[in-house]
Amino acid sequence: MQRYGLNSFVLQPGLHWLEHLYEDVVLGPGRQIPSDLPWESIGTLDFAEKIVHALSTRTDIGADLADGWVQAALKWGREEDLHTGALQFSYWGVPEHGYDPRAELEWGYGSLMGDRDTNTHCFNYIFTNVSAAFAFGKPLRISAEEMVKLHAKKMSPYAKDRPEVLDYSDANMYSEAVAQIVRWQQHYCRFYKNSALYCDLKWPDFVNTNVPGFEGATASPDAGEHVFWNAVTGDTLSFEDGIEIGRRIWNLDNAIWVLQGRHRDMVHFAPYIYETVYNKGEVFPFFMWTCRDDDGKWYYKDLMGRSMDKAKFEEWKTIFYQLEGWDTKTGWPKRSTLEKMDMGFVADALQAAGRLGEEDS
Amino acid sequence: MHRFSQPSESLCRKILSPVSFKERLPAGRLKPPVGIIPGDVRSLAELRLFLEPDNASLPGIDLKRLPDWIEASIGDGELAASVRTIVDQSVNYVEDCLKVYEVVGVRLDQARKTTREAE
Repeated sequence: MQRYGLNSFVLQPGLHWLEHLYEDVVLGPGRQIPSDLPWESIGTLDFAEKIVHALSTRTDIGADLADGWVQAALKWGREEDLHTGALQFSYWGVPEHGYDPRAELEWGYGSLMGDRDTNTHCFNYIFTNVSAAFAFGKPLRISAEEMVKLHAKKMSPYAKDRPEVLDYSDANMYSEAVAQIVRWQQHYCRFYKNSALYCDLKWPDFVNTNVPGFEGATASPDAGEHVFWNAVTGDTLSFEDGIEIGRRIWNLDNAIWVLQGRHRDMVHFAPYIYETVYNKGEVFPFFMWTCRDDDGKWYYKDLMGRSMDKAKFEEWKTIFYQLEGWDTKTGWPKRSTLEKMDMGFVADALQAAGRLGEEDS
Repeated sequence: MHRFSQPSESLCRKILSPVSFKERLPAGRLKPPVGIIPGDVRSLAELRLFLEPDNASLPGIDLKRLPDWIEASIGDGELAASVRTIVDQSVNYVEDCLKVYEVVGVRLDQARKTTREAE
C-alpha cells in the first residue's frame, strides 16, 4: 500500500461496500458494474494485491474508484447506498473514521465544518476510555461530572468553565454549547497540532489520573502548550494567543474553501447519518459519553441508537456561523470578521471573487 | 470444560460452514486510537477468531443478538442456549466474550473431530 501511494483507510469501510455489491450480484464479471477481479477470493492477500493494483493503475473498477469512492457510487447509480449506510462515507466523500457523527459530535461536526475527516483526537479518549471501563466492568476513576469540569477548566476562551459543551445528550446535541466545543477544537488544532505539530494523541492534556486532582497539563502556567512554545521560540505567547492564531488559520482555510465554491447549502452529512439509526451492536455494543439527565445530573450514557435530525442540524450550522462571524445564509466570511483578525487582504480576495459574506443589516 | 451432546454429522457440517452474506453478523473492533473498525463474521470459526483475546483491541459484537444468530443462521440450538445462558448471567462484557470464545471453541473442536472420524 505504501509503495503504491494509496491511503489504506478508505478501504476499511470501502471494501465492505464492494463486498456488498458483489454479494448483491451487482458487481463482478458480466454484471451491472463489470469487474474481472477475483471477487470469490475477497479477504485473501491475492485479492488485496489485485484491487490495490487496479486502484493504482486505474484499471478494472479502479478506473472509477481512483476518482473517489462516492463519485464512483454516483457514477454507478448507487446513490441509495449513501442512504442505507451500505457506503459509510460520512462527509466530504471520505469514510467514517470509527467515531460516528451521530454519537461523537465534535468529531462529526468538526469534520463537516472543515474539509475532511478531522482526525483530531482531542476529546475522543472519553469514548475509548469510558467504554473500555464499562466493557471490563471496572469502576471509573473519574465521575462524569468531574470529567467535564476538568475539561471546561481548560477550554479557554470559548468554553472556560462551561462543562455543558461536553453534554452530548439528545437535548443538547444541536446547542450553542456544542458549537463552542467544535470551534475550540478546530482553532486549537489549527495552531497547536497542525502548525506547531504537538502530538495529536498527547495533546490537549485535560486529565491526568496520575496526579492529585487529576488535572492535566493543558493551558497550565507551568506545563501548558504555550510554555513549551515559548521555551523553544523565545515568544511570550499565552495559551489563548495560540487559540487565536488557530482561529485565523481556520478562517483562512474557510476562505479558501469558499473561493473553491463552498456554500452552506453543500455542507451536509451523507444521507444515512440523518436517515438511519446508529444501531446498538452494529459494530460495538456501546458508545459511552458524558451527558446530563433531565435533572441536570451528569452521567456516562450510551449514545448508540440515534440518528441526526437534519432540520435541527441546519439550525446548529446557523449558530456555528454566527459564532464564527460568518454569513449565516452562505457560510462565507464577513469583512468585519476578517478585518478584526488583520485579514483584510482575505476579504479583498473574497470580494473580488464575489464571495464575501454579507454584513448584518 | 463445557460439555455438549454429540452433534450429528449434518449439524457438524452446519457448525463448520459459513453462512450467506445476508446472514452475516456485524462485528466491529475497538482499537484506540484508530477507532471502531467495522466488520462482520460469517461462521463460528470466524467468530472464534474474532473473539480471540488481544491486548491492544476489543471485539465489538451484540452479545444479546448472538444466540439468535447461532440458532437461526448456524442452526445450532444447543450452542445458542449455552451462549444465551452466558449473556443472561452476564459478569461484564469482556468476561462474557471470553466465555463465548471458550464454548464456541469447544463446539468447533467437537464438530471437527466428528467430521474427521466420519471421513
